[in-house]
Amino acid sequence: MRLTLPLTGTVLVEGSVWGDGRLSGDPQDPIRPIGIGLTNVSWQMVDVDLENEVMVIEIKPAEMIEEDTGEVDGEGNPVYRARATTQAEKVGFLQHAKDLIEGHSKEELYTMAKCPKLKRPFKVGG
Amino acid sequence: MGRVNSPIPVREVVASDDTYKRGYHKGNLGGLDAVDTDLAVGNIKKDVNVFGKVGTFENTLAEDVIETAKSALIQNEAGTIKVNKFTIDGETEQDLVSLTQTYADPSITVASAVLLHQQSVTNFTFRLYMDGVMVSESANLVLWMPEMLIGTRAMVGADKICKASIYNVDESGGFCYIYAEQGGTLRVNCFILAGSVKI
Repeated sequence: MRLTLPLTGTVLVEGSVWGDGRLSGDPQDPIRPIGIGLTNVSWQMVDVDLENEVMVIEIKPAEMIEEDTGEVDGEGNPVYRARATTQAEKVGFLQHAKDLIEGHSKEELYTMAKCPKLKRPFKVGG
Repeated sequence: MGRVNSPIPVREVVASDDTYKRGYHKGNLGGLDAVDTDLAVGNIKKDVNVFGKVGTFENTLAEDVIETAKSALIQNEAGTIKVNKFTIDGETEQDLVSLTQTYADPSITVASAVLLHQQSVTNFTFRLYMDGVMVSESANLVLWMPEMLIGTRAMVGADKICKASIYNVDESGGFCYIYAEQGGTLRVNCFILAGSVKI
């Protein structure tokens, strides 16, 4: 499933991740999608649209999750175990991510994630 | 009624238009490749015949870079179990491994990062960056489960960094242990590799 997320971070070199391949982010503040908490999905970049300052990502549901067994160890820490996710859970993870992103405007997402907008100090034309 | 005579038009084949209309054609002693100089064997795929021109063009993809880097292994104070222990504040990141390389212009690079043998307290994700752009992130890490990330992008020039990191998703600080020993043998617990193809 593909989603489009607003970008945050700092652009050091304007460009693209395909084509000229020159897009470069600040190592201390890399170009990245906002941290909105796509908890149980992994994702991979498809493209960066600098004009709209968004990243298109392909998301996949987690294959395994940890769950609290309800037991504690000798030091009183909770004991977790890993298990495979069910098909229903996978569908739920994807739907949650989709609803989270597509159910809010770009401005709302920045506010929810408490992330600043993408900084482009070297953008030509301001 | 007499026969209506329409003059037969004089036509000309031009490089900008592939229509070939009926009529008298002026012709060109230089041949079609004089009409359109792009009709050259170097522009035609190898062994394909276009108007008698047998092509010679071949894609020349070539290997550009293959490099790997492995994270360092450290020994804990107990001296028996080799582990990299990271104490990471909430919503903070810890770099694990990186590699720096020069990539041809133009080229496409695929990077992959692998994390093994981890145990985390609070929720962590595994992240991959290519030249300051995050290209992939895992779901929350699961106890002892390995993670692999793949990223692909065009990346050109010198001193381009691919790196992998772990990120504490929670607001509170937490620990992430990455074990470096299995069965008494030191093993690589996190590595990154990148390969690029020159176009």
